[in-house]
Amino acid sequence: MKPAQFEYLNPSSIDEAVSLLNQYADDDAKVLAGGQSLVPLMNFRLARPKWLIDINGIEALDYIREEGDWLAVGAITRERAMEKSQLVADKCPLLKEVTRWIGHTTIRNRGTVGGCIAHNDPTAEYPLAATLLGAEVKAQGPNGVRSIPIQDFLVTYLTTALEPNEILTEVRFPVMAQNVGWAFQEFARRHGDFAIVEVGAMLTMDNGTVKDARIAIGGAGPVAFRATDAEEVLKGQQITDELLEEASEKAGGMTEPDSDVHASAEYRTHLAKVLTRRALKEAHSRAH
Amino acid sequence: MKLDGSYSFDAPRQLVWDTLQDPEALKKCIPGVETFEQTGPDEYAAKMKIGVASIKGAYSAKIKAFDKQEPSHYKLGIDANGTPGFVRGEGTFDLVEDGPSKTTINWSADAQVGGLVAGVGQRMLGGVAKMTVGQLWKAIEGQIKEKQGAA
Amino acid sequence: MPIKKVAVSMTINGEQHEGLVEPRKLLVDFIREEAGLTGTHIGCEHGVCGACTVIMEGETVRSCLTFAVQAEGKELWTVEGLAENGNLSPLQNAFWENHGLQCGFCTPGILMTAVELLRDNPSPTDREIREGISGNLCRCTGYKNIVKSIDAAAKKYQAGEKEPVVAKAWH
Repeated sequence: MKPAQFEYLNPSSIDEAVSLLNQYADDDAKVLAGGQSLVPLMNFRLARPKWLIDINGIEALDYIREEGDWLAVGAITRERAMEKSQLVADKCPLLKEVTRWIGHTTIRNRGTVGGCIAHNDPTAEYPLAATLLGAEVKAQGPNGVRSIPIQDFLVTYLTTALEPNEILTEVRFPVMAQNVGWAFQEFARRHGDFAIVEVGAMLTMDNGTVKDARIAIGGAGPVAFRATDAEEVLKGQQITDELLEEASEKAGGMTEPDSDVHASAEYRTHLAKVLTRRALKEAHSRAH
Repeated sequence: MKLDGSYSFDAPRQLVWDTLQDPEALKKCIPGVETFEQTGPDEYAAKMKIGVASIKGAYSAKIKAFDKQEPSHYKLGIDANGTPGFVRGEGTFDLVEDGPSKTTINWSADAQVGGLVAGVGQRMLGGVAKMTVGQLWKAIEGQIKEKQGAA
Repeated sequence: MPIKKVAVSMTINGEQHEGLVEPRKLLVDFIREEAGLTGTHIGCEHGVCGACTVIMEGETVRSCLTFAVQAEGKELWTVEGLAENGNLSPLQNAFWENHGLQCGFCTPGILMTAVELLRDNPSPTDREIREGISGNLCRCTGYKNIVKSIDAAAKKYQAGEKEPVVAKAWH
C-alpha cells in the first residue's frame, strides 16, 4: 500500500524542528528519523501523520563523542556508524555487538539510535542495551532541554515519556568499565528478524565473587526490563552452575510475555531463562 | 484471540454493576471514544480511536449487552469495523462481592481480529489489547469514585 | 486535503531526473515511474524483502522506506548503473556464470547489496556472505548459487577486475 497524504517539513536546525513540532503537535505531527520503523507503518496506513518533520538534515544531531564517563550519541547517528565506530568499540563494546543484530546492513544504514529508542519496540535491541547500561535520554521541547533516565523514559509498547511536542536529541550511555564482563544473547528465527527474546548481562567480579550484576530482558514483556530478582540472587556469590540456574529461574519469573504467531508466552519465558543463563555464563568468562 | 483478567474496585457490587450499565458513565470511559449513544435497550453504537502511540485507528462499533443476571454476571457482544481492520467478539463479566465495599470483576474475552492490524500488528495485539482493557477499568474506577462522591 | 506537489530532482546512474510529486511518493516509485528505471523492484513495501535496495550517497537503502523528497539533490545508483558501455560488470558476469538467478525478481536488490558487501569486505567467508544478504529474500534459488556468485565476484575483484559502479558511487 502507499502511505496516506501528508505535508513534509525539512528543518535544518534543532530549534527549527522543535518549533515546527510544537506548532503542529496537536494536528498529528510525527518526527521522521531513519524511517525504518515509521515508514513501514505509514505504508500500511497504520500510522497516518498529517505533518512529517524530517530531522535527517540536522547535522548537529549526528555525533558520537566521549564526554567524561558517558558516551554521548546524537539522535540521528546511524546504527551503521555505531557498528563501525572505534570509539563505541572501545568505550561500550556491548553496544557494538548489539548493533550487529539490528535488521540488516541496509536497514542500519538509515536507522538511527534516537529513532530506535523513541520508537520503543518491545523487541528492539537499543532500548534493551540502554536499559542494561543505564542510559539517559535528552529531550528538547519548547520549554527547553530535560534529561530522562532510561527506566523512566521507556514506558510501554511503542510508548515513551516524550511529550507530543518534544524531540529526542541525544542518548548517552555510561562508558563500560574495563574489567566488566558483558554478553548479549538474542533468539530470532532468522538473522535480522525481530527478536523473539533477547537478554543482556553485565558482571563485575571481585576475587571470584559477584560485586555487581545487571541483567536486562527484551521481548518478554511490553518493555525491556531489568531482571532485578535475578540480579539480587547473584550479588556477593561465586558463580556456579546452580547459581546460574537459580538466577535464570528468577529472571523467568519476572517476564510478562504475550503469545503470538511467532512464539507462545510459555516459550518466551523459557527463552528468557535459557538466554539469561547463557548470557551470564558468557559475561562471566569475559569478566576479569 | 483469548484474553482474561480481573480488576478490583473499592465499591459495593451494586454500584459497580450500575456504573457498568450506565451509558453516561461508559461514554466517558471507553478509551478514545468520540461518540457513544444508546440505540436500543442494551444496545449501543460508538465511534472510537484505539491504538498506541502513532498507530491509532478509527473504529465504528455496535455493542450489545445480554445474558444479564443483575448484579453478578453479564456478557457483551461487540462488532467493530475500522480502517485498520475489524474486531468481533464476546466478553463475559462476573462480579464477585469481596466485602460490603469491595468488588472484583473477573472478565474473559474471545475476539476475532482481522484486517491489517491483525496481520502486521500480530506481535503486539494481545499486549496492547490488555493495556486498553486496563485503561477501561481505570476509567470506570474513576466514574465509580465520582458516583460515590456524589452520593 | 489538497497537498501541494513538490519539485524533486536527483541524479540516478549519473543522469539528472526531475519530477513534481506528492511528499508521500516513495523513492522506489519515483525511480520506476518518473525516472522510468524499472530494474528496481517492489516486493513488500515494508523493508524486509530487499528487492527495492538501491545505493544512495554511497550506501544501500530501502527505496520503499524512503520518500522521493528525501532524495532531493542526492546521487543514486540502481541496477541499471552496473553495466558499462553495454558490458556486464564482473558482479553481473559472476551471477550469469554461476546461475545466481532464476526469475530475477530479487536480483537487482541482491546485486546492489553485494556491491556494498564486497566493498566493505573484499574476502568474505561463506557465513559472512550469508549474513550480508540476509536482508534479501529469494523465492527461487535457495540462495546457494547466489552465495556462490558473490564468492566468484570477490575472486574476480581479487584477480584485478574492477566493478565500474564502485568508482562512480564512492568518490
